[in-house]
Amino acid sequence: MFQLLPLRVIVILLILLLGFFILVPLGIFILASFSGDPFMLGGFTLSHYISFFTSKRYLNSLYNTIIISIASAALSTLLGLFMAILIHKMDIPLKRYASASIIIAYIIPPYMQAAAWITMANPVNGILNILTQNLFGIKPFNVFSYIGLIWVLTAFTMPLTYLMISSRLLSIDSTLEDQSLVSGAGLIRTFRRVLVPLLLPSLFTAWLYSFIISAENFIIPYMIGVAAAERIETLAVTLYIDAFAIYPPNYTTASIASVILLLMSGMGSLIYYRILATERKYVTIVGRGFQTRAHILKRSYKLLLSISMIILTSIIAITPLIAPLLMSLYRVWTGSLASPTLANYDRMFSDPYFWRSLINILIVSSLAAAILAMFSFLIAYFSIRTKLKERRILEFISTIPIAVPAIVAGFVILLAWYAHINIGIHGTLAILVLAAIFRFIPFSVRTISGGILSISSELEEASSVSGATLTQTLRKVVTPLVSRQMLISAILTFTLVFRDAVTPLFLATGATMVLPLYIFYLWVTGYMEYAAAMITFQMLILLIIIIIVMRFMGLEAFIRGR
Amino acid sequence: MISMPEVIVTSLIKSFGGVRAIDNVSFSIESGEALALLGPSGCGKSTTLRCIAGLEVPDDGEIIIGGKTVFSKKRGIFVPPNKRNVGMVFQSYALWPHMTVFKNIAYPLEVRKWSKNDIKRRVDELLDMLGLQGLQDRYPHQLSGGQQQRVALARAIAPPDVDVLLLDEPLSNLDAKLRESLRVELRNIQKKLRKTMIYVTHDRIEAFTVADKIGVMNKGKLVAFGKASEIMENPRDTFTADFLGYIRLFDGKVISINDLEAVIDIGDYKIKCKSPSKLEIGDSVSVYVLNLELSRENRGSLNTNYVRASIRGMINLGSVIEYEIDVQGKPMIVKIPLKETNINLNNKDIYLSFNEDITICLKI
Repeated sequence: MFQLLPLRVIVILLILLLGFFILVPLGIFILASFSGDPFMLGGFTLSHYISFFTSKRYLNSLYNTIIISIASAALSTLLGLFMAILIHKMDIPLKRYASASIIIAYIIPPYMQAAAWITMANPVNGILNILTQNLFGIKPFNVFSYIGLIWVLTAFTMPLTYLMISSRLLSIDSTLEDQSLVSGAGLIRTFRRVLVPLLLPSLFTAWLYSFIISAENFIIPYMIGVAAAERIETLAVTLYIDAFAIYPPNYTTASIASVILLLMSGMGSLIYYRILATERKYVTIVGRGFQTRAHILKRSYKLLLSISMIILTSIIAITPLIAPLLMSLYRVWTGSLASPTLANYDRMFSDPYFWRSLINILIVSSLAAAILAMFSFLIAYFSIRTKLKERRILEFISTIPIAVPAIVAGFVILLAWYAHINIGIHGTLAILVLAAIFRFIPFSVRTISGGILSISSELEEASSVSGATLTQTLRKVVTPLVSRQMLISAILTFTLVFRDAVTPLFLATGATMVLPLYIFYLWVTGYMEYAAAMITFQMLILLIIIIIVMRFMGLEAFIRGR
Repeated sequence: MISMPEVIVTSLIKSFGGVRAIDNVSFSIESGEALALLGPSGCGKSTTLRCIAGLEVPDDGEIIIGGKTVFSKKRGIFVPPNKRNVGMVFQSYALWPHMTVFKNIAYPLEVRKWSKNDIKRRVDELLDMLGLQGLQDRYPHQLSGGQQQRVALARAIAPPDVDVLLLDEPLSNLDAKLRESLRVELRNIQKKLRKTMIYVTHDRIEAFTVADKIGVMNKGKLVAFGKASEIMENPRDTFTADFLGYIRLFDGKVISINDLEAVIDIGDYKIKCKSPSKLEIGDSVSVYVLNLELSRENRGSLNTNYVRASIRGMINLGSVIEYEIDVQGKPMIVKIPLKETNINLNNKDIYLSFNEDITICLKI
């Protein structure tokens, strides 16, 4: 109303800005899929969709995507639940080690996870196969298979399901379980009858979320599926192959594959947020903190569970750290550990292209993280704290990119800001920053919203009644109280951009090459040992960041951020 | 000097999602007066206060503070809270967790661009006044509930030009003992500083301790408004009487009216009582008393009503006794102050006695 006028102007400006950079590109992209070519010269038709859905290759790719994602998401949810219960509900040793390992696994980039499992389980010289060869004379493991692909996707998404289930688990008051124990039920029955039913909605959301992540993943199916004896293609891979790897490129099928991916992930996200919103109503948010109590176990169980916990976390977190490190120490990796060398690292440090791509990714991630933190703060603040009708639009637009898979995002950005509206940023780092902002704005808004929601609105009202203007209130009361959450959000978005090879795939040119994409290219063109050295180097940087975050903000930063 | 009312609220309306939180509320208070808005939770008292502070935008009506219109739907005026020059104490205190006690109290002065020295002097003065000496460098979480409450009050009264103080259930988070001493202290500070005060509470004792005027709210409406003593002696409707702690005894019909006195037929008895609101013969009314006594015999004095009753059971609650009694076949519960004469009442058959002066009847 009256005093809301200047606020409304700001909100409308934000909406226009977001609309221009989010809705316009998506609109162009969807229109283009109905046209014969990306420039939309040939008019619109449904015939491309019809031929897409009658082609055996494309149907097969769609089928693969669905089956592989369902399976890996299910496995990932089960493992995540198992680990979350062990770590948060059981009195067993080395819990902190396990919990920290999973969080490290959370930041491991997909190409690193894939590279590690190729090193471990490739049919020729995989470490596991060499071990079994020496022991039993057989080579049973083959990562280049359906099972292999499902497993690597599981290892990649499991930290996420663990974090999602944990955050719900920690919001359940232990007295609910204690009541069941006191009533005479055993631990297993208590978990089955009390804990799991309470967790059910979040088990489903965790499954759904990892389904989406698996379905839209490009790197892992590309590195594993394409190398399989009988090529396993998923939609993301099909999209890449049709747009880039064949001549002449088939942009039409590429964009139809993108639209299908977008629809899958969009519908999934819609259901996901619906459930999350209803679930939130039932979560008891109590002012007084309550403890989640660890259950005391018999010594024999304790040992058994502890060992299985350590093995599982080591497989998920330590393998991807060790395998590339081993590989990077050899000019040509044969699986034998004789005569390691630092040659790959020497080469790396004297490779000007490595330095350029490192500096580029540092610039892109820092700029994107800083802009996102400030921009998301404004969006989150206005959509939470004002009563304007427009705030819903703002909130909605800022959530849309969550439905856009990384590989599609790059395609969308390229189409909009190069093919159709050339705003002169193609071929510069600016288009990479823009793409990163597009990709991660929902994540950033969500983490910062969490911080704002945790401040009672009375703190701001007290400031206003004291005579402070909105700007003064924002500067003196709100910003100091959410700065911590903004910092966490900025660091997390930095790491997300820093390890993202997919969004730049269509956007980076020679001069604007970024490190994760350089690593990916090196790997798929056969320079695996050299790529492994860079993976190790990159992981070192990520580890340092994560250790700093854990040191200063605690493990909770990751659980709460979700 | 002719004084104009300090706060004037006219025909205030505010709805939330179709529900009228404030339904046509009007009142005014003089400078230096203390008003308590009293009512059960959800009656609209806090919303009224928030409208006066400027934290909610009313749907309709007008609000004038210190002669300045701060809200008027008709004239399209809305003065934001930071320009209204009021002080407010929130139920949660709303102390900023990242600022020390000193910083919290200094905040309203800082935004008014006071000099560092003046701020220091004023905050020291306030710390003294509220017994917070030595706590200026503490953070809110290092304070007890009572201390936090005082800091919130100090912050609200920090700028001397703040003439209107708004308090939203300021004592409800404290324990009973602290509440008792703080409400007297609040009253004294308000009188000493001659601030106009609007105090929202659901506790009638708190309201009567603190306020000169009482406004009783129910379902968004201001059902009673006036001097505290008038409101107490002459509640105008059954809701107010119930809320102020009157005991509802019987329902009956008016059989005669004489000026402010009425006679009510309740079946076996005729009850003489005062009638604060206009009644007509034949009206259905409820008979209310502020207190009553139980006695073994009908002493038959002039201005007292007597009604036969029998005791079903009693519970000793410490300072009061709760009797379950039966009057004319109707069960009811009455609470009587603990006295020797009462505690020995174990007869089944007794009399309820209540003075005509404190017996009122209200239309139902």
